[in-house]
Amino acid sequence: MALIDKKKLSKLKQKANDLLNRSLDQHVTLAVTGLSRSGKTAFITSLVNQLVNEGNNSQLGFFNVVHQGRFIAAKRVPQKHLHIGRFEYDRGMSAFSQGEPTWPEPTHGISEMRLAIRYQPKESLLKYATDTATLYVDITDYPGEWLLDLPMLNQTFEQWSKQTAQLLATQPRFKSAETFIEKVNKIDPFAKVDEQILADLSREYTQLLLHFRHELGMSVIQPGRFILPGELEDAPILQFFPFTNFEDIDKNAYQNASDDCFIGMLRARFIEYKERVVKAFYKEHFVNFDRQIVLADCLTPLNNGPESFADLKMAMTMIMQSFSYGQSSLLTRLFAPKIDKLLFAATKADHVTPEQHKNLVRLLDQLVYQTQHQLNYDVIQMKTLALASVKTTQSGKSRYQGQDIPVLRGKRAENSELITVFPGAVPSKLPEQEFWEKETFNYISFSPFEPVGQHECLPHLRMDQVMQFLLGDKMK
Amino acid sequence: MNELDEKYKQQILFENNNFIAKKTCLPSNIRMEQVMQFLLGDKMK
Repeated sequence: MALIDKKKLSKLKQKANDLLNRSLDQHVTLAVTGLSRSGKTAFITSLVNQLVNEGNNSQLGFFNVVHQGRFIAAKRVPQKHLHIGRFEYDRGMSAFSQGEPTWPEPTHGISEMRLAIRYQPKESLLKYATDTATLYVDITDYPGEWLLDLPMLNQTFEQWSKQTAQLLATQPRFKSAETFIEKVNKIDPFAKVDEQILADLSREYTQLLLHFRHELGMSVIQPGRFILPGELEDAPILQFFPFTNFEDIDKNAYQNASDDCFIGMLRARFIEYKERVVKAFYKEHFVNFDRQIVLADCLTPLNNGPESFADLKMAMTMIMQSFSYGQSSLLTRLFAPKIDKLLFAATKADHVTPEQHKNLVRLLDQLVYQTQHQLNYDVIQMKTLALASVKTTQSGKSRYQGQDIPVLRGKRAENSELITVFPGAVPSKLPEQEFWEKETFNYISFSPFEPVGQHECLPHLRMDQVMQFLLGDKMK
Repeated sequence: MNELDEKYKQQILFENNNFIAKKTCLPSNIRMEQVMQFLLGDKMK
């Protein structure tokens, strides 16, 4: 009898302990975004890799919980939302661990993954209650392009069309957009809509956006969902475009236009897009994020020229609006998000020599902080840094005309050729026009250097500082 | 060295045998700010 009581008591104790632990567990929802090709997939793969393989030659000296020996282990656990795609970590690691390692295939749309990190609390109140605690990290990966749609919520179809038409009429976009503009201008806006023409022109507009992004290296792409449609591919809600000839139409007729004429249907779909796509994203996802990292590749726009860099600047300004929670912010009025830490990271830091990292960060600072005076960041802690989620080069020095020059050694992405190179300096601010007229930037793209085992840590630059900023305070 | 004195230094390719890998002076888990805090921190309160 006494034995049963003892067993029961022990079970009860275990249950109470479990319950206590469960209530003491902490959660953080970390959102990872960046304009396409900024290295989101590599970042998340590396983040997960460093945490789950900690101890296996990991380099996380600046992550306090690891440095202080309080990190126990991390593992992947089933994600929170079952209706969202799972981030394909294993596919990413396969790309890095195969004989000739490559960059993983980029992700499209939104995906999620959950990590459970076990650690020993040291400073927080948790240490009085439990020896070990668990931090659950929900990582959400979503395209930065989706944040570019936020300003649309404040615009009417007419305002958005006029703004976009102006962008299309400016070089370098105009060269490829000219035919599209001509076709749209030929439409009778008040004629009964032909849905096929609408679908064709929408497809043409989407092709233009893809061309702007991938060939011209432009960053301001609206509507953002057009180039990364996810589950909405071919849905009529994505079949609209800016009407480029607003100057020539009668305002009253436009106000009274019904939904079955061209302009009426474009307007109706624009409104529907804002309601069902843009607002839905902010309502369902954005409001739940606690921490956010925005990845930006500053080197490729420099390679592409001044227009591309200016466009990145404009895109970053638009993205910043999603994080401005001042009184006037549209976001506060609509959804009241709760992000309290925001990290901007210049990716591909390993593509330039270490002494250039300072300039890379300065350049990013200019992109990010320029709009700061208009915004209220009281509630958000912000930081910028230069990182390489997966380090692809080795730094060293070479003799050049009697002096030692900092250089990198790595494999060219285009042909896997091993090269030793000083890849060029990074300007601390955007060069003046006269520089661009004479010179261009030509940073080299590198591919991963050598295969890394599935359970080995990927080489990186400053991932530990990223973790300390985004997770450190939750693991005290 | 003229190229490197210019405002924005341009790219220079080297022979692969002209490369001396950078030596890591300190193990990654030794942190200068903690060293300084230990040695100097109490004198600067």
